[in-house]
Amino acid sequence: MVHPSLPRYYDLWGTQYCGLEDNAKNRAFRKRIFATDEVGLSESARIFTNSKIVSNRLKNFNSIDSEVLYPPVFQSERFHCESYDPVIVCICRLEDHKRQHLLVDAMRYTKSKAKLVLAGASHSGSYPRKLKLKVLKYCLSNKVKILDRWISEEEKSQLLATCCAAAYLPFDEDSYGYPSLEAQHACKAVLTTNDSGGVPELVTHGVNGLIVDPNPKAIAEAIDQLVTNPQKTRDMGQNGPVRINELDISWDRVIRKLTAA
Amino acid sequence: MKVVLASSFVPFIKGGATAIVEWLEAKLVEHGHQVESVFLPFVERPETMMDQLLSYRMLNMTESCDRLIAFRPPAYLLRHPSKFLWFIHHFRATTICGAHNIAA
Amino acid sequence: MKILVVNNMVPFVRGGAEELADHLVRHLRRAGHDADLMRIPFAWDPADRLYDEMISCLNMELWNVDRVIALKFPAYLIPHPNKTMWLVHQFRQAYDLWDSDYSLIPHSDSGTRLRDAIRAADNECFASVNGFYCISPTVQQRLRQFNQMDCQVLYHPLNDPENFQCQSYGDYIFAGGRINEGKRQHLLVEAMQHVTSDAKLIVAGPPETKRDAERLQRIVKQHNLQDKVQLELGLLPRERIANLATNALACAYIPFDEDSLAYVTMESCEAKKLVLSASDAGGVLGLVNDGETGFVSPPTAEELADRIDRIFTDRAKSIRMGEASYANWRDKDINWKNTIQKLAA
Repeated sequence: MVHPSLPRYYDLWGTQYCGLEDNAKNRAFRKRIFATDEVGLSESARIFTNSKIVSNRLKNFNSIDSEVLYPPVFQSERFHCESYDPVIVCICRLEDHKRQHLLVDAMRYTKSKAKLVLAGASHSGSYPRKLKLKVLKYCLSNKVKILDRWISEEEKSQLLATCCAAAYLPFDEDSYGYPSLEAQHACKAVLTTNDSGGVPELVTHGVNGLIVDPNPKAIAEAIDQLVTNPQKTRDMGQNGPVRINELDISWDRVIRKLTAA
Repeated sequence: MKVVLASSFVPFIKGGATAIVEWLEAKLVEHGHQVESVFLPFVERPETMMDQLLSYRMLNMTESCDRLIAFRPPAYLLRHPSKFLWFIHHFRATTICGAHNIAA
Repeated sequence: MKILVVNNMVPFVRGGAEELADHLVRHLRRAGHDADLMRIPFAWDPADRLYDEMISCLNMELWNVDRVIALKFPAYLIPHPNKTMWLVHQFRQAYDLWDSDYSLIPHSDSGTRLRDAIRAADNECFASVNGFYCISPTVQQRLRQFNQMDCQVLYHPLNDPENFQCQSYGDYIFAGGRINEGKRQHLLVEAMQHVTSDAKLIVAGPPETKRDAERLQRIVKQHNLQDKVQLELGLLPRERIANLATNALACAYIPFDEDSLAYVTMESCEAKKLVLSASDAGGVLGLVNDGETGFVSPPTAEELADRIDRIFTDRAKSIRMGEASYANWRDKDINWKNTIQKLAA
């Protein structure tokens, strides 16, 4: 959802402007943004971020040191594990940049009995349609199920409880993302890509998930591996809560840090 | 303690940035704190951005609470002597343009 | 339609306007709208700070909002092309309280400039709105006097009428609401020493101060009214209040010069009870027609005692008046459905 006057401006800014160093108006605007950051950041007694990526950005852009304070999910105890069925779930909004299409494409190449469930609402009507057309076009309807609607928290935890692993392949995100964290609370390995941005802060390849190239064949191989090697998949899933503890992703820590003197 | 959580938002758009505030509010209350959440409007539109920043800067929360926790920019402009920042992301223009152009 | 209700907030303080805003959002949603509440922090001490507060609101930008419903200063200054005012009240320190010297804004040159700045900002805002309502005739009157603006009165409805359906007509008269000197529950208690019928009085509600509680307790003790007066002092559960109202023979509410119809009055009418009020009760009298839907008594203990005796000596008539009270109230069509229709029109 974008303000009507934004796209034109951001196109300009994103493409042309960044090469146009001598546009005084835009340069002035950019300067003001950084002056604003300067005021707000320098006044803050403590600065926390939600990821190393954002902390690094603060360091690079604003020369400001900060501490990573990973955001926990709400009521993580509702996530639990019942079984490791040969199903990969991806529970997040159905949007272009979440790249569920890579998963659908991957299902063309899987050789195992793996099934894929995509679940989530969408802001744009066109993306779910695109995904469904793909499923039809490649005759994947017995392998891929798309639930393009609001998923209740209960339904979400139930999907996570019985899958064997969860996929989350956003493009270049700032943080690990709640879907990854939720899967790990449910003792499920996370399948992601090496261009997902923050997910690797939580997921280590081969330990509590798999990190592969963002192409359908590589993803298909990973899905097959998760389904055909259940012991390894289960082990990786069980490492989820260990990793969460290791990073101390907890409300206790958040409250302690944010209410400290 | 009395805590005010402050963030910018666009009305009717829910997402990670609003959820983190709501969850933190619930958890702080569980821990015995008094909490109020404040969401103020902000749209990153260059033509009016300075005016909007002013509207944040003009609000002084000093007497309202013991601790101000700010989230999305420009909530960090609200005035308070004990301001903590949980920084989730920059203004979009910052990151879209890239670091190499910033020094100017 | 995406409707944003905008109100002020003083962190950690809640009052009637906050309740009103919450219920408004709830009922907008019930009517099928996408509704949300936005609260703008507000502080007014020292007075010069009011400039900052106004500048802040005037510089905010809203989008993704189809309609704003604004309740209070300075939140109503936030610009929007489709704004409906439902004015709870203006910043009275720049208006009637300034005139009567109950204002933090000094009567100096700078104070006068500030007062004028507030009035100018108000006038500009009021001229720009698409719909203009206020919650009481008093607010309407002030707007006419100070801003030469006309607006319609749109009373705030009862929030939970379902809890106030008549159950029975018992052996007591009920006085609910906040307890303080201005609400004058003490006059009712004093009246009970003059009563000759078998009337009982139940006073229930939160005393504003310890003194307000003690005043009532003292009168009961002084006149030995323990058998005739029951005091339930404190913030009672909603069900208890509803129970007391819906099983009473009649209700009493005698505040001094109230702005609005008041929730207590509306609840009494909804519960089919006649309302005993006082001739100087202000807005409350909008629902009390003397001898028909209730009694309008001079504000003295003796006169009130006389009305209470009348209520209890002819119970059948009191019940008929209770039914008339309900009919009169329902005729006014003050309910959330109508309110939402107007505000979202």
